[in-house]
Amino acid sequence: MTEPIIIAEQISKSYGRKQAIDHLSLTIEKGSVTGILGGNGAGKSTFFRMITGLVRPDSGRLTVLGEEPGWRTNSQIAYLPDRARWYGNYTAEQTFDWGSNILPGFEKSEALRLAELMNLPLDLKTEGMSKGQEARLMLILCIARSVPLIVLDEPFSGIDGSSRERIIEALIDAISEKEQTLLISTHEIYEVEGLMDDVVFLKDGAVQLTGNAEKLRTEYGSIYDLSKKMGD
Amino acid sequence: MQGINNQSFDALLRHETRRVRKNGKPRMSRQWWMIYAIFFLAAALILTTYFSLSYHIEMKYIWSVCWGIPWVVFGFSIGKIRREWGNGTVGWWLALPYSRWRLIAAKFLAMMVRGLCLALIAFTLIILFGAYATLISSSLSLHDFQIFILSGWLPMLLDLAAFPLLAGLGLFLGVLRQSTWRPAGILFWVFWGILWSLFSSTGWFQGVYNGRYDPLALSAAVIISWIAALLLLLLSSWLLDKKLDL
Repeated sequence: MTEPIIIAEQISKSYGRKQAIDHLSLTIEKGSVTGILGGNGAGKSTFFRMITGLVRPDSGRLTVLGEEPGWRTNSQIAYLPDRARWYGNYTAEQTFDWGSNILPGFEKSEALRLAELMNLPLDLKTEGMSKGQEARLMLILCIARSVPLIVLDEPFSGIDGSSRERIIEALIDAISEKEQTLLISTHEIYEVEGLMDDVVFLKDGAVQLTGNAEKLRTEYGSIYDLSKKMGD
Repeated sequence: MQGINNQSFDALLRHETRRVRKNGKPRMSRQWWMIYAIFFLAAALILTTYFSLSYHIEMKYIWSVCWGIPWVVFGFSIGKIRREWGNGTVGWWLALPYSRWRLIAAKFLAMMVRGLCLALIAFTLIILFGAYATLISSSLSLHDFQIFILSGWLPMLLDLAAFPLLAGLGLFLGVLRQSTWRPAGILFWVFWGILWSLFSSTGWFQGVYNGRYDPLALSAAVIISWIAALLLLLLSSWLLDKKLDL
């Protein structure tokens, strides 16, 4: 018997005339890896911001970890924001200390292990890092946390192929032994589709298609192929 | 609540007191900092020597520098909020497991610390200037130096008293700019202008500047400014919570 960790019931959000989320209803099961997919402007980032309480729905009801999302629930959510950058004056080591002091559930030893796995220099300030190194650092900040929910919004945006590979390896390594729920939005579907248990396609702020990744793969060949069809 | 305690608030405060530059902005090398420091020191020494030897300088006017420090704090406070957006770190900041009030309070306290450091640096430099000028000038005595130091306590104290309002105002305007209430910014400046003109026309600021003031009225003004600062911080955290334009 699976248990829901996120329940969205007819949630809507508009910015002026633009309807970012339109009567979205969705349930995310605990312990699953769910890909939230869709083109630009589909509502993925807005939905993630709602999960972390950064944005509130205009109408409808959203429950995360059994509560209304907000700063209290954020102690149990590791969130990698869309187009995020890290503070330029921090080294990786200082970032991990920051995480240990500020983020509930952050494990510095795990962060150091992942940094080694991802070949991330510890003494280099973020302002001197490449985009790929900075992306790895931010990902570690999320996946080195023992929290029930991880939300990654476009973790591979602007990252080269080799960095992407390292990140995916680390992601598989980090979540395989924990009972965490992972929500990931990405355009790099081909490389991460093997991770996903479930898939949700969004379009114009509403669910276009949702289902078990394995079943969809059987039916359409791959999630990547399906996404191309959905985009047509 | 897991992990949210005073210790982690201290860590948040330490994080906020770190100086954050604009992401991508090239850093000035240590050599250039040294060149600028030496240039500033040499210029100050030459000018002080020249004026001390050529004229009888009224040292107390140098304390006027202090009136600018709260405005520096004001500018830093706006930048403190703006930089979260400009540097792309706003998502991290707002997703922290702290109430909006705590997030704003940490930035406010960090600004107070920075203001205090600025005031201390200004105080030390001004005292050094006074000591040097007294030492080389034939027309300045030790008594003049004592009077000079005594004339500095009021502007310094007023500086410290003004920091909460100016830091609160800077943070508020920084947040307002990122909220759906952005258009209210114009209204705010109109209101601010009217208030400033009113106080100026009564000669209140000039009186304080010249040391002619009613201590009771001044104390009341300081307390009112602190209450206003608190209200601005509360309003900022409310805007962050309810009216953010993300």
